[in-house]
Amino acid sequence: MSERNVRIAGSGTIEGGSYGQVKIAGSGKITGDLEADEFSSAGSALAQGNLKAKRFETAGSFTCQGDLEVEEGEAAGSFRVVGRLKATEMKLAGSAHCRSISGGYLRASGSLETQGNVEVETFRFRGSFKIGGLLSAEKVEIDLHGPCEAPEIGGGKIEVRAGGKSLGGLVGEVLEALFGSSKVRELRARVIEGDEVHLENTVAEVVRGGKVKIGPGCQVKRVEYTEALEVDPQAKVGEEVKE
Amino acid sequence: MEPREELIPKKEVLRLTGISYGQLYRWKRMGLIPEAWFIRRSTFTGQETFFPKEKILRRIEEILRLKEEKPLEELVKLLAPEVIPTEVTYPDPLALSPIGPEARELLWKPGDYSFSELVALAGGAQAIRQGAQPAEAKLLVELLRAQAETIRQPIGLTLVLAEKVVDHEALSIRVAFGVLAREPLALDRDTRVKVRVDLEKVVEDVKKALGGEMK
Repeated sequence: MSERNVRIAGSGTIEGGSYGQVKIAGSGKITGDLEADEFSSAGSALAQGNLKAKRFETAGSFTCQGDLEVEEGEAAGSFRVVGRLKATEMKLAGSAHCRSISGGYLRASGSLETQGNVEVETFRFRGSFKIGGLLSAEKVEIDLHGPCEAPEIGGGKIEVRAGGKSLGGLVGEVLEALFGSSKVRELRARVIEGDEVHLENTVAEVVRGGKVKIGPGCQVKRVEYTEALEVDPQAKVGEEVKE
Repeated sequence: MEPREELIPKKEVLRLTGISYGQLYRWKRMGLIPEAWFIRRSTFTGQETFFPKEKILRRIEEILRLKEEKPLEELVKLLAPEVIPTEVTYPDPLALSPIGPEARELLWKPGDYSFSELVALAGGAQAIRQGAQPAEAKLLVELLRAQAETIRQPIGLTLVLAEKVVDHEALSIRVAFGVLAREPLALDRDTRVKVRVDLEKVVEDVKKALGGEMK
């Protein structure tokens, strides 16, 4: 990759191209496709094309109008990718919007919204989300801190917890701002399928799996399981079917 | 019309093949099982996903058989129809099993066939094996050669050799024509389908044959 480095302090514009390091402090705009070993921004950054970075870090507000591809990345604040996000390892804190997400490890806290699928190896989440397509991961861990919604969730091990005490800091503030103090902690899904499924506060039409635990606060119309089923007395299950 | 592809519910796929939900979703994420094969329908027991039966069972059987020998990432290149090798050229098409010596008359140059040209030949060879005349197979090969871009997205793609007989007084004229289209395919009732080639499978077979050759 190129050894060219570029730095914006204050306000500036970068054309696309291939760079070693790209650093934005203040407000920066990238007008074409950009590729960098290292991309970082603090303040506000807008990429009008596609962006590809080995290491990626933003704080404040970041918008990419194309696709974003990252090997290792972190975003705090408001993070928006109009196209697809592809990441080997990504940590999000704050509010995130993407068309779809694919990749390896995704840890997110705060709020997440996608139009399409989220398909990663590990999905570790605290907060509130609205996923428009399939949420699929080898390991799905959801800590509910607000309303969560996905039509379909599938994978190896799926764990949904009702969430402990309120989140502090930035993430807490974002959630507070978005949902007020009502704090609905509930996951809604049509279908949830996994080899091991453990749910709390989940409203679903069908849950299918090997070992299934339906915990307190759940309302599930139909559970189909092959190995074991446990239903908490504080859960409602319409039909239980051993396959 | 031919009967529509038989569908099988996801649960049944798991039961028949012994794979887990985790495996199925993992293979989907890797692209080993195309998104287009996941057919979502609502049933009386809620939302269910169905698959084209023959395709999914064949694919899973192949993954299970090959995954002992090769890492999954390599299987993606081998099996996923949407990953098309572009840089490959191959000197001796007749040596590849999906093409074979039947296709000798279909060759149009001595060697160095690109991937999409190999698919065109394999489509023609398949048609010959299903009873097409060499001249008709040539028609199909030319059609495929002209549609190299379309072949890059082979899911659901079918190659048809159709014919129509027009009787007029003492004269009977038979017209043969090639069609490349995605299923479900509709033709008028006077058109007879002489040969129907599942191009998605042809692409897969050519890839597998090349994969074996290149080892």
